[in-house]
Formats: sequence, structure tokens, C-alpha cells
Amino acid sequence: MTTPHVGRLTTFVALALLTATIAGRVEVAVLGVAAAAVLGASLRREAPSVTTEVLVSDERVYEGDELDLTIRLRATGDADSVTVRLSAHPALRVRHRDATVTVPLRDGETRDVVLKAVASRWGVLSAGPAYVVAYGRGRTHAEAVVAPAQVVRVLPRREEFDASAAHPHTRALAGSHPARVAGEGIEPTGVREYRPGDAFRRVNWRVTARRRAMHVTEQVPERNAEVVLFLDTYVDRGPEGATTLDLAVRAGAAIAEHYLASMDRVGAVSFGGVLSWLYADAGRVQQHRVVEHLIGTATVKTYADKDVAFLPARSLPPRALVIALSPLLDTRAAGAIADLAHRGYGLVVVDTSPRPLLPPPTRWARDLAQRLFLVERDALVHRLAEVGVPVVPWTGAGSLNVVLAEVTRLHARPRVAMR
Amino acid sequence: MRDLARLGAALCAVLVLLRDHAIAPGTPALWQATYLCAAVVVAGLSLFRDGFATASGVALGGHYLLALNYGDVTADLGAPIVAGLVVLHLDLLDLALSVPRERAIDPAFLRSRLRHAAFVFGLGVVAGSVAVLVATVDWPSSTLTRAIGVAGVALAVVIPLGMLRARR
Repeated sequence: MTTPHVGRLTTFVALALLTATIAGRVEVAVLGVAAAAVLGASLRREAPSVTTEVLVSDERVYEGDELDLTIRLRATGDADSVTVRLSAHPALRVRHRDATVTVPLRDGETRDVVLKAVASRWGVLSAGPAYVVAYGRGRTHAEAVVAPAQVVRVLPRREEFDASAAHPHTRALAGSHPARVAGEGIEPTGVREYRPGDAFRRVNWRVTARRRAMHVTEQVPERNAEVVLFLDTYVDRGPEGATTLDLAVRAGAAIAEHYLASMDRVGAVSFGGVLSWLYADAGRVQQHRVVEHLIGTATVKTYADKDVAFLPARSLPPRALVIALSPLLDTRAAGAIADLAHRGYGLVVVDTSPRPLLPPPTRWARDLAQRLFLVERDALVHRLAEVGVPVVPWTGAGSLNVVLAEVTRLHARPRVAMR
Repeated sequence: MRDLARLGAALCAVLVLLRDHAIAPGTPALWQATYLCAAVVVAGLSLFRDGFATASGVALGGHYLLALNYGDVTADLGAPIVAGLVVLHLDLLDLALSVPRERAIDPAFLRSRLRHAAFVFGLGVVAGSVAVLVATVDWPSSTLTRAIGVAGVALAVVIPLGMLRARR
């Protein structure tokens, strides 16, 4: 297409020549002739044709990593200037001074414009589209091209997490958690008197010699467990990069990595405006699946009430340890967590509370509002504790140990059954 | 690059205005026209609108015409230089309008634009000189000559428009 420069020069030529004719001044006609010569020379040039594509150096990066976004330009015909403007996701921070670049391009030349970007937040982010405007020699012709966006998967930052407490329920498959019942295994738990049927190789000869009666070593089998990460995606509060959902996703990734390394089965449920789930499984592939699930979560505003009954039964296997990651700001999520507790799941709430993010109160009204908010929140935590749901703030490595031990103890106690 | 182009365009305009005042020094009416012209040029440099850019070039041409009249100049042999400067002013204004503001300037682009600016200025001067040469020829003063002149003017307008349409 032609540029406004053509109209500008044409207008100037016409006005100069008409004025020269009317005023009878050849000098003014000279201005018009000069402009006409430049216009004619420019219009003789071929319009350039540019093809472009966006390339990313890494399709999977971690938060805080730097990556190269390359815009590859190929020209057919000389281009006086090619202006490239990359429109990337805000979390994919391209330095402002580099976001727009203008370069010349010769016929047949291929040029890569490399922009440095920093992945500032987890998620599935779009690198692009790139808007390219190529001007021909003389700037009388221009072509606009849009290069489609590429997808960059930014994985959550690795957080340290470790938990050594026993699981409330283990499964019948081999793993690394000692079961709560004795059986064949390698983990000794005690010594007792020999009973008919005990294997001869389990006889503890030292104790037998000391007590003068046959004793055997009791063992427990190593089992694996099922863990379900239950993400509350109703609300997301806090400054960019440190929101409650950011904390939940990073904590979830760390917890999943820990349990999958222990040969456990890990699943995930995103509970909010949009329900999504990932069935529990084990192995390294599941690690990738869980992280993909986590980075795909987003808060979607909704007024609809949701219930855990909407979820498929396999997404919450019976006797699974459910680790709920929630800021406890939405009563619907708190209700779902209480519902899970009533259904008999071993349940821990990891509080991704916005409390540390609250600004210091500067006025009495704000102070009062914050105090009311905190009182309401404490009341909610207390109500959850009443139905046997421990709430623990996320502090990284070892933060769930005490509370997991408590959950295991609660599930091991004898219960009264109604007949 | 945008700011460099604006600076270059402003420099061209200043040179044209100084040249005009050299033709007709100390003319109060020309000074008043200069203030008006400067306002239009500043608008063209700062408002980034096509209309103001065109008006900027036209204002410089009008100022030149006024200077020629107030200075009682019969023939200005420096007209090709003024033409080159005005055309370069328009070219640089177009560059300022079409290139986004950016801090990092590609050296190759800067070199290419300097070459292009030299080409535009040179072509303007050469074309202007040819026009002056043609004008100095003692053409017979007749109705036919005037008709040919008017037809030439019409063609100078119609031909670029025709080429434009053909490109589309």
C-alpha cells in the first residue's frame, strides 16, 4: 500500500506549481519540480515484501529465567526500514527500550531481531504477536505483516519442601512410607514373642537368648500413598508475582515434586470459577503433568456455587491425603474443604494467606477494616479446626511435618461407629 | 531515530528561513510571516499529523515566495538549494511520523537514512537546477507557450496520481 508521504509530496507539488503559475515566480516552480523528482524516483522503487516469524530460545523456562525472543525477517525487495513491535504477555518482560526495533533490510536478506525477555511469572504465556511494518525505498510504499505468537511455558520457581511425617493412609503398592499395620517389609518396628506361623528368618536371636523364649522382630511394609493437591482458584489477591495463587502454585509444585520423588501418586484439582482436575498417578511424567496443570490454572470470576460432588470420583480417590492450597478468602472454597473433611479425607489446608501482604494501616478506618477482616478469617480457621481440618501457613521446607503428623494421629484413633 | 529526524527537519526549516531573511533582510512583514511559519513548522514537528507535516512544507514554500517578493529579487539562483532543503524537510518529517520512538538506534539504519537524506537533497538540488536552466531559456512568449506550461503543471500533478493508482 502507499504511504501518506505520496499524498504529502503530491499536494506540495500541485500547490507549488499552481502558485508559481499564478504568481509568475519560477523559483516556486523549482520547489515543485524538486518535490516531483523525489516523488517520481520514490514511486519507481518496488514495494518490499516481508515474511516474519517469532522464535523462542526455550519453550519451557522457570520463573526469573531469561530467554531470547527472535523475530526472523526475510525481505523480497529492498526495505528502507522494518519496524518490529513485539506484543508479548505482560509477565514476559521485554525491556522497554528493546520492545520496538527499526532496522533496514536488503532484497533477499534474512535478519534476526533478538529481544531479551525475563519470565517474571509462571503460566502459559504468549510471545507475540509481532507487528512488522516494512517501508520501501523512498518510503512511498509500506507493507504490514503480523507474525503469530509462540507459546512459552513458564514453570513455577522451585521451592524447597520436605516432609518426613507418616501418611494417614497408605495404599497396598510398594513405596517409601511405612504402613500403620505390621507385615512383610524391611522397616523394624518392635520385638514380640513368637507365634505359630511366624517366619523362622524373623526370629531375633539376641532377644531370644536373653529372654530364653522365642522372639521375632516385627516389621512394617513400605507402601505408597495418594496425594491430591486441591487448589482454591476462586480469588487471587496480592501484588504481581507474589499473589496468593502464585504462592499456591509454587507450593503445589514443590509438594508434588517431593511426593512423586517418594514414589507416591499425586493428582490435582483446581476448584474455582472453572473446575479442572488431574487424576493421581506416579512417576516423572506425572511431575510434568502436575506442573502443566498448575501453570494452566487461573482465577475466573463466578457467582455460581460449586460443590466437590461435581468432581469425578477418580479425581479424589478414597483415603487420599488432600492438601488444600487456599487463601481462605472465599466461603465457597472453605465450604468445599469442610465437605472433604466430612467425607473422611486426610486433609490439610496450606494457608496462602494474604495477611503478610496487608499494607500497614494508616487511618483508623483502614485499621478497623483490617482488624475485622482478620477476626473473620480467624473465625473461619477456627470453624475448620472444629471439623478436624488443620490450617498451616506455607513456610517452605518442613512446614507440613507437624500438621501431617497430627492428621495421621487423628486418623489412627479409634472411632465410634453407629449400628 | 524519530527525534533525530525531527532535529534534522527543524534544521532544514531554520536554514530555509535564514536564507529567506538573507534575501529580504530587515523586513518587518517577513518577520511576521516567519512567526506564523515557525508556528506551523513546530506544529508539524510536534503534533505528528500528516496534515501539519504537509502544511509545514507549504508554509516554508510560502515564506520563500514572500521573501522573494519583499526582497525584489528578479531571479534567485539559490532556489535549487532551498528546494533541496524543503524536500529534505518533508522527507525527514515523514520519517519522524512513521518511525516509532526508540532509544536504541540501529547503526545500519542510521547510515541508510543518511545516504537517503543525501540522495533526496541531491536529487532536489539537481532537479531544481534543471528547472532553473529550463526557465532561463528564452522561450517565445505566446499563448501556446503558456498553454504548454499549464499543461506541464497539470501533468506534474496527474502523472504521480496515475502512478499511484497503477501501484494500487
